[in-house]
Order: sequence, then C-alpha cells, then structure tokens
Amino acid sequence: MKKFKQLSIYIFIGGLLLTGCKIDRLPETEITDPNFWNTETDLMNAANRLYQQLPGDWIDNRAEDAVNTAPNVVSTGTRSAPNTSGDWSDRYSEIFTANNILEKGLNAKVSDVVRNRYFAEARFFRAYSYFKLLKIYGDVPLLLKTLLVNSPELTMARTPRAQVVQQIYDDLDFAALWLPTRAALTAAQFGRVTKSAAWALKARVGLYEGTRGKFHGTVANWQSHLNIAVAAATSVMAEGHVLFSNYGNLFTQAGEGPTNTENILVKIYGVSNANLLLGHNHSRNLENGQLAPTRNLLRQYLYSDGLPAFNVDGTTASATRSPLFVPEANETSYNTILDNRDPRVSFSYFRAGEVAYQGPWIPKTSLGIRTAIAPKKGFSTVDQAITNAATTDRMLIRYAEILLIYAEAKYELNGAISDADLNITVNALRTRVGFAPKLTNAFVTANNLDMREEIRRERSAELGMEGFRYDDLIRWKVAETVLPKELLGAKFITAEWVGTMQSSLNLNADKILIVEPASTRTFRIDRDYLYPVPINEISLSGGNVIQNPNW
Amino acid sequence: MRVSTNFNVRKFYCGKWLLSFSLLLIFQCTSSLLSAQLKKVEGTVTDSTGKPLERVSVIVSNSKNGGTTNNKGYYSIMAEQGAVLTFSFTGYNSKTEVVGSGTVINIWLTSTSQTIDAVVVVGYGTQRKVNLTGAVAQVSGKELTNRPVPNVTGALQGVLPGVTVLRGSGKPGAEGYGIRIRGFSTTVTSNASALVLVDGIEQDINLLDPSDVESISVLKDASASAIYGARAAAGVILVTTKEGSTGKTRISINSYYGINITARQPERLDSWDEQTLIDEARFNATGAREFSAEQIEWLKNPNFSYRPNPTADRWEYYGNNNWLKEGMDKINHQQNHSLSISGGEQKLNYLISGSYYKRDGVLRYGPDDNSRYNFKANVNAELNKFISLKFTTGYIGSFTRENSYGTEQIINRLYRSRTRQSLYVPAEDVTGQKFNGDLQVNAVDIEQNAGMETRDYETFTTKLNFQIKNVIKGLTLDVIGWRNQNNYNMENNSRTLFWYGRSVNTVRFSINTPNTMSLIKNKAYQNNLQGYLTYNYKIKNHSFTMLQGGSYEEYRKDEVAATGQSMINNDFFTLNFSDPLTKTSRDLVQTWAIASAFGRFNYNFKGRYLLEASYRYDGSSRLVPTDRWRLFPSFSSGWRISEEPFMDNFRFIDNLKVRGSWGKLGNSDALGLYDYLPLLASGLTSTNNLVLNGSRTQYIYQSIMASPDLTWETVGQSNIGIDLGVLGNRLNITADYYQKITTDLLSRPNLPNIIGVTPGFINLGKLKSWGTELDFKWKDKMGKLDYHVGFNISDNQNKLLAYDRRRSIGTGGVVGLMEGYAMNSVWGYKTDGFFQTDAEATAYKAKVAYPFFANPKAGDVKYLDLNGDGKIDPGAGTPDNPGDLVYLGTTNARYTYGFNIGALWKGFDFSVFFQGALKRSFLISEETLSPMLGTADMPWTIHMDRWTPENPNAFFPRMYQTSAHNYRPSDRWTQNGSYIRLKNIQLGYSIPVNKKYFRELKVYVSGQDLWESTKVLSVFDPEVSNNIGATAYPFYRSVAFGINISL
Repeated sequence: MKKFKQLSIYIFIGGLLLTGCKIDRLPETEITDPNFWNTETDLMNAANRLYQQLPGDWIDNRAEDAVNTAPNVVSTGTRSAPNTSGDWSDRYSEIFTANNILEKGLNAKVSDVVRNRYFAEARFFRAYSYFKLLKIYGDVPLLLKTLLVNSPELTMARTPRAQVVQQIYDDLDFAALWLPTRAALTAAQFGRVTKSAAWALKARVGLYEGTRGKFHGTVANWQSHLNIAVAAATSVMAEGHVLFSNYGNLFTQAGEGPTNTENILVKIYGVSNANLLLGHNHSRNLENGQLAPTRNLLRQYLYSDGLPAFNVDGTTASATRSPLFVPEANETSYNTILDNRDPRVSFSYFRAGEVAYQGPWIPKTSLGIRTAIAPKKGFSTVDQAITNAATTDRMLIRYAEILLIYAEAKYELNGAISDADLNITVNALRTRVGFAPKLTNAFVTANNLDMREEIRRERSAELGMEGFRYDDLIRWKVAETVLPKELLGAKFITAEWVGTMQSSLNLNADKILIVEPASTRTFRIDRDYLYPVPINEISLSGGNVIQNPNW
Repeated sequence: MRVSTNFNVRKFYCGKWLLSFSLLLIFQCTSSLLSAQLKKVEGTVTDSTGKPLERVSVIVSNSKNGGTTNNKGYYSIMAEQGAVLTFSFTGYNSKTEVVGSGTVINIWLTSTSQTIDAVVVVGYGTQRKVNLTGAVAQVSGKELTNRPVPNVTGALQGVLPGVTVLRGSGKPGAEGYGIRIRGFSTTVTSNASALVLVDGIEQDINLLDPSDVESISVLKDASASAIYGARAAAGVILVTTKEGSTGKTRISINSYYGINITARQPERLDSWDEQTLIDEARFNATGAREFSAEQIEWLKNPNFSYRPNPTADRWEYYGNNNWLKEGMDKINHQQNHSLSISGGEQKLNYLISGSYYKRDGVLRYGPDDNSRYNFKANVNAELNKFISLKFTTGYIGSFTRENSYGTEQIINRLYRSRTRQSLYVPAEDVTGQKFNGDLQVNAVDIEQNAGMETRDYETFTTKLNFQIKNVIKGLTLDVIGWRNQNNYNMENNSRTLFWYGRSVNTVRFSINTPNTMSLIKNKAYQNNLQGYLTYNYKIKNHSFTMLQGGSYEEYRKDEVAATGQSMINNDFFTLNFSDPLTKTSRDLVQTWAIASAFGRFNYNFKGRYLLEASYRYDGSSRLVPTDRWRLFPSFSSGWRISEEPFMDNFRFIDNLKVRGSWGKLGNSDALGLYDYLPLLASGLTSTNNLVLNGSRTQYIYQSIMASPDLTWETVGQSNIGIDLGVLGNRLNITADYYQKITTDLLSRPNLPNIIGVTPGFINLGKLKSWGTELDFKWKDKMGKLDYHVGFNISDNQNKLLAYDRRRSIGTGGVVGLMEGYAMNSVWGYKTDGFFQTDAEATAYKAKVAYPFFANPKAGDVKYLDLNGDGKIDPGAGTPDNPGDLVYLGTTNARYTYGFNIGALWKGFDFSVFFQGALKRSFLISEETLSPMLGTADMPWTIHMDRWTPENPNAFFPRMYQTSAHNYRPSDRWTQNGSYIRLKNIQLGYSIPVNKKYFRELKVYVSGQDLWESTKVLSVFDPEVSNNIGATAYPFYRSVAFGINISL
C-alpha cells in the first residue's frame, strides 16, 4: 500500500504539470463572419468583392467575326460536354457573393438607404451573372440564397427560363431604385454601378429575350420584353450620357474615367504599367492574333456612300451593292477592302503600311494573326509596352449599345422605326465618326435595302470585336447559316506580303486566305443554340439537372 | 522485420561483459563450497540445425567445474544431480539445464545474431522485439547509410514493408519525399504524412542526416501507435539518433562525394526535324505548311543561321540550337560529410555530431541547389542513484537557392523552346543585348540573369529528459520538455529582363516587369511538456508493465510577408527603394494546441502469453470547444508458440509468434486550424487586386464555408500477424494482414458548383484500406562469406465505402473520391489504334458521332463506342452510366516491394537492393503528350514516331497543332506505372589497419537508382505523380565514392 501511496504522489505531480494548460486557440489574423457585417464600411468592403469578381471578358472568338490562334470549339461546333466549366461555376461564385451580402447585410446597423445601396449593387451583379448563365444555358438553377452542404437546393432542377428572366428584371428594378444616378456618383466612386447601369443591363436583357423569343418562336409575349428594353433604354437616355467624341480613342486610356459618360459599366484596371495593381494583356493579345478579325466581319461594313456589298451574314451578296465595292478577285492591294468604307473601318483595322504593333503593318500570319487582318480597335502602344501590364479599362456596357438596343427593339416591336428614332440612335453613332450617309426610311426604300439588316449591320460596325456577335447570332437565330461558313482573311498580294511564301498559306481561287474552311465548321441547329451543361452538375444533382437537348 | 544489428552488437558485448562479471562472482562465491555426489554428465551441443558447435563453454553452477566442447560438439563434465549447467557460446543465447537423474544432456543453442534479443523503440519506451504484440518495423541506421540520397526518407524507400516512400521530382531541396504507411488513412492527402518524432521531438524527417540515425521504428498498426492518439492515423515513425558512448572517445567520419546523372528526360530534335513535325501539324490543321523546302534547307545549313527579317524590326533565325544542352548539365554534384565524436563514462557521456550536405541541380547557370547543415549534441548524466538527465540539442539549416523565375518554368522552356532560335543575337545586333529572345523568352538568359529566390529554413531543437527511478522498485518517472523552434526566410528578387527585336523599339518579350521583390519571414515554435510513469512488476511468471502519462503541446507560427515593385535599379533589391504604391504586406498567425493523457498496460506470462492495452485521450484546439475530446483505445495480444514446452520437438523453429490487435486512432492534423469558425479573407492579402479610385482597394469575402459540426476523423485498425524464425534464426519471416476503417472521414463534399463557394471539410463517409505485408530475411555464413537475402512486399488497396453519394467521373481522367471505388481512380476511353485511311475515319464518323473533333482522318486515334449508342461520350458522367468511359486503375500502386542481397567476405562487403511497384496507372498531361497544342511548345524526339502513311504502327498519332483530340484520357495514354529499379548497389572494402588506432576504415562506391525497367513513356520517371508535364524536374541516378572512418 505504501508503494501505491507513493505512486499516487507521482501521478499527482504529473497531473499538476498538465493542469492550467488551455487548448483554446482562436484566429488572430482573420476576422470571423459574426464579427463582421456591422457598419457601412463592412457593407462596402463586402460589395467590393463583386467588382473584384467582375470579369473583363476581353476575348470572344465564339462567332465568325474574329478568330484566335487556334480554332474556337464553339465557333466550329466541335466541342463536347465538359466536366466543369468556368462559364457555370464562376457565375455561381459571383451569385454566392451577392446572395451572401443580401443575407448577412441585414445584420448591419445602418440606415435602409445605406443598406439598400449595397443590396442594390449585389442584386445588380446577381442579375448580371444570371443573364450570362441564361444566355448560354437557358434554364438554370435559380438560387437566391446561400446554401449549406446539406441544403436540398443543391440537387434542385433547372428553373424555367421565364422565371430566371423575371428575377433578373426584379433585381434590376430594385437596383435602379436604390443606386445613385450617374450624375450623383462622385468621381472617387467611379466604377461603382449606377441607375444607368441597372437600366442598361435591363435593356440588354429585354432585347435579348424579346428578339430570341421572337425568332425562335419560344416566347409568346416576346413583345413585352422588347417594351422593357425600350423603356429601360429610354431611362438611360434621360441620364445625360454623351457619346465620346473620338471613336478611336474611346478604347484606349483617353476614353477612361468619369468624364467620358459613354462609360456605363467599366471593369477598372490600373494604375499604370509602372505601378501595376491589376493588368491585362489585350494589346499584346491583339498583336499576337488572339482576336484576329475575319474578312467575314470586314465585309459587313458600309461603303462611304452608305451602301453595303454583303449582308450581315458576311457571306451573301446584298441585294444592292455599293458601286465602290471591288470584287475580291480584283483587289489589287491588302488595303483595297479598307478603302472607301465607313470611317469606323479605319479606326478598327490597321492598313498595310500604317504604323501598327512594331512599325508599319505588313500582312502576315507569322505573328499569330491567322487572318492576316490586323485589329486596331482597342490597341494602345502604352498597353503594348509590357506583357500583362496593360491597364486600359474595359467597357462592359457603353452608351452606344443602349442606342442600338433602342433602335433594334423599336424596329422589332413594330416592324418599323421612325426617322426620328433613327436619328437619335444609328445616325448619332454615324455622326460621331463623321460618316455622312444617314440611315433613313427613305434611303432604305430608295436603295432596296432591308431596315432590319441595316440596324443589325450598325451593331457590327459599332460594336465589332467587343464580344456581342455570338449572342446576336444566337438571338437572331441565324447561327446555323452564319457559323458553318468558311472564315476568310486578307488577300495575298505577293508584293505586299514581304517575307511570306505563298506555299505557307491556304488560299482560295481569288487568293484570299482561307482561315477555316467550311469543312471544319458545323452548327447543329438541334443542339448548338444552347451550351452543354457541365457534366459534373448533372451527375452531382442526382439526375435532377437535365442536359440540354442532344448534348 | 529488420532489426538494428548495432543493437545486437552492443547487446552482445554487454552480455559478454556481464557474463564474465557474473562468472567471476560465481567462482568467488562458490570456491569455498564443497561438492558432493559428483557424476559424469556428457552430451553434444549443436545449433538449431543440428550442426555441432565447438568450444562452447559449459559451467556447473556453484562449482568451479567447467569445460568446453570439442570439434564434434561433445563435452563431458562432473556435476551433481540438481546442479545447473550453463552453456554459453559467442553469438548464441546461453542456455541452462538442470542435471537430472540421467547422465546425457544434449543441448541446442539458438543464435543471437538474429532478432531474438533485439529491442525495438515504441511509443514512450522500448520493448523486446519478441514481446511485441503490435506491428512495428524497425531498421537500423546502419542500413541507411552510404547511400547518395538527399535525406533519410530517400534511404527508406523499399526497405520496410508497408512503408511506401513517394517522391515528386529531382529538384534540390524539393525532392517531394513523402512517407505513406499502409496506404491511405484519410482523404486529406496534403496532411496524410505519418507523425515523425525524432528522439521524441516532432521534426521534418526529410532534413535528417542518415548518419545520425541509430534506428527507425515504424509503428504501423493501431496497437503500436494508439498511444499517439489523435495524430497517429497515418502511422508513427520514431527516429532514434545516436547517443553518447562509454569508454574511449570515438570519432566517426562518414563522407562521400557523388555525381548525379540526369535520367529519363525528353530529348530535343534538330531544328529541321522539329520543323518537319511543325509543318505536318500545321498542314493537318490549317492546310498549309509554315516552311518551304528551301527554308528547311536553311535550317540544315550551318553557315546560315539568321537574316534580318524583311518585314519586321526583327532578326529571323534558322539555327539549330539544342536548348537542353545549352541550359542543363547532365552530370551534377552531391556531397555529404559528417563527423561525430562521442565518449564519456557510464554516468556521464556525450555525443556531438555535425554534417554538411549539398546537392546541385540540373540548371547549368545560376542558382539551383540545396545545402544543409546538421548539428546535434546530447549529454546523458546520471546525477545519483535516483536522478538522471538527458539533454539533447540540435540545429538543422536547409538552404535552397532557386532562380526567381522558377526552375520548373525554365525547364519547360528548355524542353519546349524552338530550336531554330539561337542562344545569342547576331554579332551585328546593335541593341546591346547578348541573348536572343525573339520567338520565346530565352531560358539561358533567365538562368543567368533573372535573379534569385532563396529559401532558408532553420530549426533549433532542445529537449530535456529528467528521470527519477529507484525510489520505488520498478517505478520510473520521466518528465520531458522539448521545443522545436524554426525560422523561415524566403526572398525572391525578380530582375526585369527584356528581349528586343533588331532595335530597342521592338520589345519581343520581357519578364518580371516591373522588377519585384517578395519576402516571407516566419518564426514558429512547438512546445511539448510531458510526463509519464513506468512501473515494472514481476511476480513469479507474471510480468506487468504499466505506463501512465500526460502531454501538452502547442504550436504558434508568426509570419510577415511583403512585396515591393519597381526598385530604383535592377540589382538592388530592398523594400525601401521600391515603389510605395505597389508595396503590399500581410501577416499571418497560426496556432494549435493539443492536450493528452495516455497509458499502456503490458502483461506477459512466462514470455508466452502477451497482452497489451493502451489508450490516449486527446483534446484539440482545432475542434469546436463543445466537442474536442476523444478517447483512442487499443488492445493487442500475442502468443509465443515457440516458448511452449510442446514446441521443444520442433527444434528448427526458434521463434514463432502470432499476434493480433485492434485499436482506434484519430486524425486531427487533417483538420484546418479554425475550421469550425466562419472566417473571412481580405482582398489585400490576395494577388487578385481590386482597383477603384486609382488605388488598391480592400474587399472582404468568404472563400470557404465553415464546418461548425466538424469532429474527429477516426481510424479503426485491426491487424493480425505472425513472426517466424527458423533454422537458427537464419530465416525470419514476418507476415501481417491489416484492415483500416476510417469513419467520419474528413473531406470536402463533392458538391455541384451552384454552391458558389468552396465547401469546408466535413465528416463524410467511410474509407476502408486493407492489405498484407510479407517480409522474408535469410542470413547465413558460407565459410568466410557472410551473406543475407531479403525480400518484402506489401499489398494495399482501398475503397470508399461511403462518401457523399454523389458519384461523378465527369469526362474521364482521375477521379479523387467516389463512393464504391478506390481513391484516385483513372477513367478513360477505350481505343483501337489509329485510323489507317481517311475513308476508314469517315466511315467510322458516319457511324459514331465523334465529339472531340470535326474531321477525323487517317492517323487519328480511334475511340471505341463501347455502349453502342452511336456516339463517343461520357454518358451521364457517373460510374453507373459512364458512357464509353472505362475504369483504368488507380494512381496508387497496389504492390510495392524491395529485394536485397548482401555479402561480407574478408574485408569486402557488397550489397544490391532492388525496389519497385506494381499495378499503378497514371496519366501524362494532355499538353505534354500533344506537341504544339500550344504552338510555342515544341515536340521531342519521341514524337518522331508519329503516324504517317509510311509509319502506320507509330506510337503517336498524326501531328496536329492546337488540338488535343487524340490525347483524351484513354487506355492508349494511361501509363502502366509498374517498375523495378536498382535502388542501390554498394561495394565496400574495409582496409585492414591497426585496430589500435582505427575501429574501422572503409572505402566504398555506392550507386543509387542506376537502372530501372518500366513501360512508362521513356521521358518520365516511373515514380512521377499523376498528370506529369513538361515542367517536371528530372530525376537522376547517382554514383558516390565514400569513406567511413571510425577512431
């Protein structure tokens, strides 16, 4: 027993050594969620994440207007359903941010005005993300709250398109109610969304849903969407936005900032290539052929007499052809196709001999520009200087688009548009670039043109290479005729193509560069109007998420 | 299982000394006694195989009678009935027999040269190997030395069954060694490594110098490791380093110098062959070639390698520059030198040791190396009868230098930059630049001038062990405190480099613009205080050992990191001279603590029946306060059949033991530090900046979901094993079967992406891992030749019994976690060679929709429509509806094995060791297999074997740029990762020198990884991880020349 007494003393001593040892450890350099969400600053910092997640969306090669260094699988119709896709997951990540603000922001001890301002930002970006999903996937699961790992909504089915669209409208109405006007936004706040942005996005959604419903015949009340587009565009047009005077400079550093009120939604880069905080590489990407415009796009521009040579599909001859049109077999120079055109052509493409990326442009494919047509729009020598250190802001919504939405929605609603409406929209854009011929009902009639074609053409001329073309082809339901066509580039003129051997090029009978032959391009009408839903989302939904048809 | 021969030797000497001492005593005590009724006792002494033993000493207790056996093993001696005879012989276990009524006593002795008396290090103590009931594998440090490997882990590969050593690359200081014991215990792979305690101190085993190691014990099953409770799920490795010796001061020097020869890497093509492939790829994709026949002739012309570009402000290059040869050395250097001094006496002894190791990497220029300094000292002091102290202190410094641009990126460019681009610009270039960066950044220029990243890691350990004993007989109290403090310093200085065209107006490429420096500095410490009581009690045939203790451990890391850009010049890097607008800084504190009580109970009856029970009760700061404590128990038992009387008839069996165990282990290290709390991240610590109002702007977000209900992941493990020693313990066999069931598996649930945020870890599912291990060792003498042969093999499989029920295999590739399957299963399409004609391809396309590609042609891979639905697709992307995907194995080898032979003859020793793996599949990244998927990525020599009409049975399909349609995950590209490798081969010679001055003087040559056989694509090592690509740092073979000196 004595032994055990002594033993227990040892145990007691040992126990003493271990008492008083606390094992609580709390984070010291991270904030916990319950300690956040109190002040206006908290709300703003949370909302800032929305701006950080906003993608710049620089390069879009999905249509026939521009190609990358390799064929785009959407454009060529050669993709297969992916397992996961940022097109899906990034959007839901943005939607999570918005939903989280809308839930947790309720705890903040701030006035309703303050709270609703940031709720409005959250709802704007939620709508922005849902619209992107809607455009490519159609029906998508509509989540308006954050989920837990065991939430039943994780395996929810896709919500019908109409319901998603209605939610987008509701979100944007709320946003337009509580966001400041463009004029009220201080210069220091530039970049944050305004009433104009909410209306502008609503106009974009309305036009998309209206025209898509009309041409696909899937929505009975497509007119209501077009009415929404007209109304929303009208609201923007009352906000005092002005087209930037210089179309060429609009896409460079000169067009940045609050003084250019053509900016409606901008992804801000900066500060400069010397003090780089957030950069992109767009000018170098242009130089290296990641957005090489095709002849198919170039053909759509008007000649300086206001008449076309090709329809908006870029391949079929227009009923009336401008006398200035030079048949491709007769082109004597790279520049022939650039001569006597809409002035926006000279702002958008480098001519042979014009100082471009590294001295005068000499047509070639060796830089990576597969079409040998050199894009100029958005090119900045400052941005080009250093790889990945370009800082020109990216305009995601600009006022010119609103004018085009207004014109198109008006026309599609009524099958007609007044000259007055044309003057405040299409013709305003032409005036800005000094393009004399105006689009009027009389001009259309006199030259046997088609008003719809001409309004659509104006989109290509004004918004070319800005990432609108694919969506337009889809909503107009012309993708099956446009996308399977061959993609063409510059004309091979031996004397001008210094350093390039003809044998290294794939040319047609007119010596036009065949960038992608029609044999490599397809568009399945029963399948390709919607993206395939990532397989991961289907297999993890327990079969509730259904794949789009024929994928 | 292996046993330290060192221990044996020491035991033996010790035993001999004790024996002589006790004999002396016996003689003294018994000399005065008279003996009566003496009779003649005789017999023969043999070993367990029946071979007679000569010169065995036979002593009669309590008398001065004694004798030895003759060359036939015969002895005769005078003894009285009831006297005790002791038979002893060098190298054999002594045996006693009582003289009965008979006069013949035949005896067989068992050899000590094997495992019988070995002592094995276990948690909080040691045990005789024969008494072990758990699965413990031990290897002596001696077996790991003299190998030109970067660290102890490298030497462990293949040595122990059930212990899989993985390595990731050949990069100095980042070899990526990991130890996986008995397959997977958890799915949190980043934290799956075993708990490593070096002399009881948690340390990085990858930084240890092999010559410091006395022994390594691997606690494989739950009964052995449960005493480490919550941190033992992935097994426990106990490293014991050398300690002070008594007697004459001993000095040991171990030193080698080795060369590393790069093995298995891609080879570059000549520029004209490369161009041929480019043109084929381009023609197939676009209908036009890049180069004319004339231009290809220019490439072949050594006198014409450039001209001014006629259209751009650039040069045009037509050279043939093997970037690999210019930027990499095939042969590199490695050395390791260590010195240890020990001495003292029984009551006070010491050991100090130090070593230096350095290895150079493959890059020819600039920094690419790792050096390490190890220092250790320990003092053992017996203050008096009751109190003794052990003091250990150590320092390890590991210094890695790397190019600021990243070695892997440089290697990628050396492998894939275009060969027609010359290294230097033409002599008439006026830009002032030396290096040519026209088509691609110049990797050699980067090696020389892009700046350096240094990573310095230094760790200081101190341990004090205070022991009280003899106050109560059999009771020992150990109180131990240790601290492991480390500092980490990272500095990356990225210099700006520009490459111009023909004038400085044309910038072709640039890197690191603006120049940038980034710093990370942290200090971390881990403190441990523990105390435990050990009580040994023996009553008659019953022996008990009880252990009871407690431990408290805490960790804290403080880190500060900062970056600055736009230094005032390109050679002076300090934050003080960087641009204030772009400076960033962040801090980070990480903490955890764990408190535990633990205990063990051993019972041993007559050395035949063994029982053991142990527990640990752990509380971890990583779990929510309301549920952070848990008990981890274990039970085991063993039966030493060979000790049973009835086994006396089976003389050839020296040792036979069956054992079984069950226990529960926890896995708290897989938990994040504060997973139960919802944490928010600051945008100012992210590299994704937000710019508003012309400056960097804060944003705060939740990047990961909290897991408030998180609890312990527990592993229940059962083990049955058998240990067998036969034929005089010359043959030893150990076999084990085990099964581990991990419940409350910690994992991120596999959620649809609509969740919008990374899910946190939750307790989800159940993993079963099971396998067998077999270890076979033979050791014998043939005349003067001592030799040994060993073979071990492990079989491990696992299966996720339950997961989140969402099963997705997607579009093929490697699927990490899926219910009903092993972890990391490979899925792909079935293929049937290439289409040999366009017509065949067209006909196939008409029948089967071909999703990856619009226009399959001759030379494209023919994927099979297995389910006959008229299209190649992944179905619903689930294993139940996989479309045309099939299961192609897993990326974890099912079998790993090692095989060794060694011999000792006169002064020579020779050993050869093979190691390998069987049944492993893995994939190579698509962009690496597919040349010119990115047009800047050039093909390799292996790609010359591509499909052309003239080469219909090619390995690669037809060349096709910018499309990977031929390289989808499929049986064609799944690598068979089985291999056998000559891991180590050694030849040593002990120079006969005066034993008065030298204990040993040995020279040796040792080769590591000299040969292997595998079906893996020849440019990659079979040990590489899944989805290996062109950035892989190549593995290497080593040959080292070394010397061991002991004074």
